[in-house]
Amino acid sequence: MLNKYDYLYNGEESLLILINPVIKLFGLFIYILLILLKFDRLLFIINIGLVFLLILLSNVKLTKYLKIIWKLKYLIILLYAYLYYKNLEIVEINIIIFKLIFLLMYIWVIIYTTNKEELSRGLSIILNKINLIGIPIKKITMFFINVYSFIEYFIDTYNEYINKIEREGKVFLDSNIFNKLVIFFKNFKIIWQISYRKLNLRKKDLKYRLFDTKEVSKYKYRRRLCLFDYLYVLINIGMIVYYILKVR
Amino acid sequence: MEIILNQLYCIDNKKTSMEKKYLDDVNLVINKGSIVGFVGENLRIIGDLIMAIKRPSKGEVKLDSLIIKRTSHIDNVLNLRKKVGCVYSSNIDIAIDETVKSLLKKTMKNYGYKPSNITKHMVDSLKIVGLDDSFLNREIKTLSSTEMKKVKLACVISYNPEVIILENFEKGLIYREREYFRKLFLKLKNKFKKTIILITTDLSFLFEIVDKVFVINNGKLVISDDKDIFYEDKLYKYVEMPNIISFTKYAQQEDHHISEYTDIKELIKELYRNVK
Repeated sequence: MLNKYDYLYNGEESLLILINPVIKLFGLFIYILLILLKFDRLLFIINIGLVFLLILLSNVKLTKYLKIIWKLKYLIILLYAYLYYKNLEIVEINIIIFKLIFLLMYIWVIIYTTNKEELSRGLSIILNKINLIGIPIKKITMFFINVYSFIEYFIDTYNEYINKIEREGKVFLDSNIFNKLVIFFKNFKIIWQISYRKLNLRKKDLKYRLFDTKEVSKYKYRRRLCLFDYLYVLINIGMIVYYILKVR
Repeated sequence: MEIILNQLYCIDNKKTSMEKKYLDDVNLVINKGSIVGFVGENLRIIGDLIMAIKRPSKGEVKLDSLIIKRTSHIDNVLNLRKKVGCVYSSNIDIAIDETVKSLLKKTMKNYGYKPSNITKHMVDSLKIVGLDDSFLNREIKTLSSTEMKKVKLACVISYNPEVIILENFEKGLIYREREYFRKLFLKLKNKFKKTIILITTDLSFLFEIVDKVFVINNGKLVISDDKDIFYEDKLYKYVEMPNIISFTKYAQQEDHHISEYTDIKELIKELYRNVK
């Protein structure tokens, strides 16, 4: 069964919650840029170290991040084998795998420490910069919120459906990976349809305001940039400047 | 099958802000061939633990000789699940494109139950729950929630398990249907030696049929007592008092000498005989 909080906002009180989501996404962009550019040992260590620091500051257990990596172990092994087949050196392969693993962990740090509304807002602000068609920013935000909500409903429906078929006599959780994949793909369509139905009901609720507006949000996000935002931006720009001056 | 819950913990997302405690150090024994009532919120986890759909965070579930722990391996899960049946309501039933007949057939096939005359067996299973054979060809989507519950109970009865677990089964049933199912559960217990676990928040459904009542509040087992508990005040700190009991207590406070009944017909007779 899938644990919803392995894939969604965790709500833990931490320093990273205070950082603006646009700044977090900017940091992610810089990280992706640096892993694609020319390799430098010091920059690599600083990059990896920064991600590790963010993981510690997120106040979410390290085992959660490692669980995500563990679930992708077969893909990582395949990638390792492919790169080895392409005659890359072991050191280079290890560096590439490390970069990808830490990229995944960086993405999950952002997901675990950013509420869905704020993450969607951050993504829509960034996309609005390249919005040539003129789509209203609210619509872009709602699109991302719907995607996030759909993932939540999908996981809930998946868990409910698997429980139901287990009670009807199909052994899923205690079977091998091939049986699990077969059962999953056989029932994927119905789980998708039910999740989509729940999403449509949610849209209806929002349209007619059928939800409880008195619910207090746990998210302590500050609209103005704070010291940590500037520090974060400074570190990322510092890495780019270092790359331009010393590495390139 | 005797069921023992031994120092059982079931906690999701432990030590996080999303922590959810289903069971917290629960110790109890469910005797073979008895009807027990569980009163509390979020208790469908009990059925999931007994069927080994979910593993406990700590502690163990003992089913005769089989022990289910967090990391224990079960050789043949299906053999265990053949002996247990769960009837839970679910929102996703309305999206299923199946008929009642195909659902019954699929359940019996999954559990390896092969009767000599499959159609007769399906009709008999439906009759036991008060549905006629016209329901065989009806689609699941077209059933009401009470009809769906009855069909699920028929599916469970079709493969003849030793333990039947029902969650909020009484919700939506009319008085006549409630009495019918209470008699049915008594018959299943007395004649066929089945163990029946009723998970409910409505105590009036448990009157006269239940052997033991377990009340679980915030994961803790707060009350574990037999059927004489219904007139004790300690029970009503955790659950709503049924009308018959609140009426009797009120009448006793007003100096009317009424005995403590849980059967409404007996209470009416008593009132007719004694109250001026």
